[in-house]
Amino acid sequence: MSELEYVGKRYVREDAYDKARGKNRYTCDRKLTGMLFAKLVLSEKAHASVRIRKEKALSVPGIRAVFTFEDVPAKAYNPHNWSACIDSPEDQYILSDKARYVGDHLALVVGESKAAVEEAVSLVEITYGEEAPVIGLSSARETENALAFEKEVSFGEYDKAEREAAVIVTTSGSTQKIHHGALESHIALADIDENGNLVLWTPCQTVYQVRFHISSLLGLPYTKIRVIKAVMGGSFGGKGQTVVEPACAFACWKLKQPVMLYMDRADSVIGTRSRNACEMKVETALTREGKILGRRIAADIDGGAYYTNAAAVAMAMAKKLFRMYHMEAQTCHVRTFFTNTIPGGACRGYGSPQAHAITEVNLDLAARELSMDPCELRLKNAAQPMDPDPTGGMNLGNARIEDCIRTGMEAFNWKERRAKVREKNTDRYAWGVGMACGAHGNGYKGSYPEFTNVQMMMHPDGSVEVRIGIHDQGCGTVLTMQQIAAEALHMDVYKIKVYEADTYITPYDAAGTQASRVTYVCGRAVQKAGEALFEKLIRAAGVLYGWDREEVSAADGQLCCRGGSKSYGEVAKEYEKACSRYLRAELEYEPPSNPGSYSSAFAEVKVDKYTGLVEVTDLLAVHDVGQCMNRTLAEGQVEGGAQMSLGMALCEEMVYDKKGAIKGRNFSKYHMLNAPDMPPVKSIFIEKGEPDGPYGGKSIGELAAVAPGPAVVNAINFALEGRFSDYPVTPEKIIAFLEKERER
Amino acid sequence: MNFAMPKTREELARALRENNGALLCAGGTDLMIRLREKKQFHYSLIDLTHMAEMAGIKETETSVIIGAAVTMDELERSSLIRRYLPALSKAASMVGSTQIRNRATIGGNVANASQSSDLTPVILAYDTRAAVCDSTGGIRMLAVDEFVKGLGRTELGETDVILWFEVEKTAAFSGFAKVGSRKAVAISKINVCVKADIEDGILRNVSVFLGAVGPKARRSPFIELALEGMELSRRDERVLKEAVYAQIEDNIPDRSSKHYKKPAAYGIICDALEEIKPQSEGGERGE
Repeated sequence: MSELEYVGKRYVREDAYDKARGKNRYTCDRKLTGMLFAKLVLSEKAHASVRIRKEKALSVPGIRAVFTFEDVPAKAYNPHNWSACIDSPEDQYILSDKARYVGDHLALVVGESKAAVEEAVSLVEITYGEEAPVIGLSSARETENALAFEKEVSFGEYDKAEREAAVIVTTSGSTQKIHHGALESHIALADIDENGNLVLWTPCQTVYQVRFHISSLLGLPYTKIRVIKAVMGGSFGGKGQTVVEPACAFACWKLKQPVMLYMDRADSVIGTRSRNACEMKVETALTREGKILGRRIAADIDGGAYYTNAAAVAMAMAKKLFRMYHMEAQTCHVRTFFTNTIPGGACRGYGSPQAHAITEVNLDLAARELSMDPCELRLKNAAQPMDPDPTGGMNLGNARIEDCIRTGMEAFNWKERRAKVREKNTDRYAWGVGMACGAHGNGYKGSYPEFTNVQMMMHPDGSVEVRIGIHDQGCGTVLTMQQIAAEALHMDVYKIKVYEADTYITPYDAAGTQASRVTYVCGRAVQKAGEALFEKLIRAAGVLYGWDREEVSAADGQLCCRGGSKSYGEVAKEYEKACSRYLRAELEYEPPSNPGSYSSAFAEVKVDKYTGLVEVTDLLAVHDVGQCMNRTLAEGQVEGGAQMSLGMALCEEMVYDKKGAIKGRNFSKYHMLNAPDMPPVKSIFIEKGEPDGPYGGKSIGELAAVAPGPAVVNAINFALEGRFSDYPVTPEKIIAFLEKERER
Repeated sequence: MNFAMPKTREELARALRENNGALLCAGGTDLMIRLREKKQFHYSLIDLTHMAEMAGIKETETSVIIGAAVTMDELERSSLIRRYLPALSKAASMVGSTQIRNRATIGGNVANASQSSDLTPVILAYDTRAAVCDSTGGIRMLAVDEFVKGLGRTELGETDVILWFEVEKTAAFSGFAKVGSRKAVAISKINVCVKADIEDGILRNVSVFLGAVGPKARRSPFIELALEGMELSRRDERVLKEAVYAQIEDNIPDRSSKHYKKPAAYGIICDALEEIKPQSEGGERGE
């Protein structure tokens, strides 16, 4: 591959300055003439029949409507189904007929001001007929009809591996429900345009999914619904499913007035989605030399109160466990249960953080049992480039897990630090280093429909517009596409305009911005469309100026040939005039593959044996990204992913009491790792090219949230000679462990 | 709904008389959250941040006077506070976030009477007295220990307003430490103020107040006894640890959190004593 001119470089995203100065206009900053405000009334009970009285709420001046289950269409949907051909069971209504979790959407209050709406929400009288709730997996396992999904994925004969093994290392662990913590709470704004179409602005991940749901719920044709992806203040998967859009659209359509449906933090914490909690038992059968013969994994997943992603997250979790280490046999049995808690949804990593949280701790404990270095153990078993998926799934592609481990070991000075870190120990502080690996995918190829469409046009002013259904969640997707297009077209990144998804403007995309598919699938589509447009440009120059394509060179938006030169704009203008054509390219793209992206993380921790607080003092993350699209953005993903992953390891948790109530409903109680607790994060990228990726690139955003957490837990286990495998490893758990050790 | 912004005690007294049941607002960092949580939409407010008598930190020959509307940020930076109540400066520096510390006040922190209040252990360790006025405008002096009951309760009346705090100047040194679920912007799971005189490196007249191990911060006699007469830089860890564990057991025998709080309390007491060390060595005093 020739030297890249634009891809991989540290371009600054065009909205960076506005965002830094608070000038960006998010949905909550908008105001339409005659706009009403709407807020959902959320259940305070986990499982109950409800009787709702609206009178008091309606008596508040300025209140226009209070809707309940009886007012909304008697049509169920599954907010997880991102298109009409994804058919997980439909069991939710715009507003619920009964309370199935604390946070369930029971009523919608619409009024002229936020103040009126807030007051009216508190005056909606709900009489609950409480029933026994199912909270947590152990309770779900004992409840009839709580099983939502079950599947076994396997290859080889685990029993044989078990018989031949020198050691079998068993680890039971758990991961918690996690709130996404996007600074922008869920919100949507709906209006009716001059032609009577329903227009919805929403910071979402898939406009086509929202359109599908609103169409099916309100009985409107797709073509009458315009969904526009709004400027987004973060999602992390939390806005992946349709959450508030149907209620907002319903209120607007019913009242024929613009409606802004907003949530506050507490609503967002209890009444949207969370990362699925998981309990997992891992048995790994190994030879004395540390070769993995086989693994048996059983995972139970807390799916929450509605079906949503019960099947999808279980399958995602199971499949990823087959794509990182080589072995002879593996059996993975996954089950998802209904509980009376917040429904499960996408959350950065979609099953990978949970899966690797336990298996990577298990591998470290196996290394301990075999008196081996945990890196060496992993190296003995790491998948190799172009390995097949043992279950018959898509090929692993240019899987560079081994490079991630080796490069990390060297950069972290692993061997020496592992040998010497305990020399820093004092009475109070125990030090440790640990590492872990992670794997993630690149789209839906092999599981679900996977394709996208691109339209590209070059204008007479030399600018280029790109229409593709992408949704920038804040990670710089737009800029990534600009850089890819610039590379293909040999022109200024900032003269390329990439529209974000809008069902009236951008062509159909199969799955939206999820599943780590955007760089790998959409990016490659943009590359191909860019190359096609460039080809047209060259051909136009040939027709217009008689330039032979072999003699034409292109740079910075100029074509040069035999001493002459033309700007792209001139070519576009003259081509339109002379040939009665516009410079444009259009294509549908389906990726031929779905390779793995891999990572390793290396962490050093200082554990306070008195207070149980863990300080992560150093963190290195190595990512197999094929090729960085933009180094600054990639580093941003690594740092942000680490922050989420460390939060999962150390402090974040949605805690339910026995009755299903959540205590930490805002950031004063729900603790994410904040700046004072964040270690400096060092990023290294392995760039060895992924054959079908755009200029060799592949995914990183979700993967970044996988390995740091287990690396920290492994470091804690090393420091304390513990076996922690229940996330998060809180100070209380550490102290309980130490006190028990002391009494021994 | 009314909003009053008194500047003088006379105006304050009138506002209190004219607005029955009005809420007192200093920094508002707890009040606004509580109003939202409790779904209160109709109320009157008296803003205390313009009261001259409630502002600033002053000294007399014998005492330090701290206005009740003095913010955490002011406490943290004040050279007077650092000189005479170093633990108060430290405690204020560890409350909430920068934004919270710019608004939250010492009066609010005390009057809210949270069991996790970070300033209260220090205020009690220093036998602080408060000037309280009511709707007549008259002032009475009360020991803070007398009216703070904890768990959000005080014995102050609805129209009582803390105007300032008064602390006697002493030569004592003091340290504060806390532990939450993370380093910063965390509510204390447990906190402590240790105050003592140092004579030839020996701890004398030790006061230890632990917070969040009971309805309000309170004196910890077991720990004080263990520390009394101990050499600051050569502590008998075994004796101290036993005393701390006994103290927590005594404070919260029936709470399951005691298992965590025992070693954690020991940890933060060590931290607080480490705070005192440089003070007693003449390093950081009165900077």
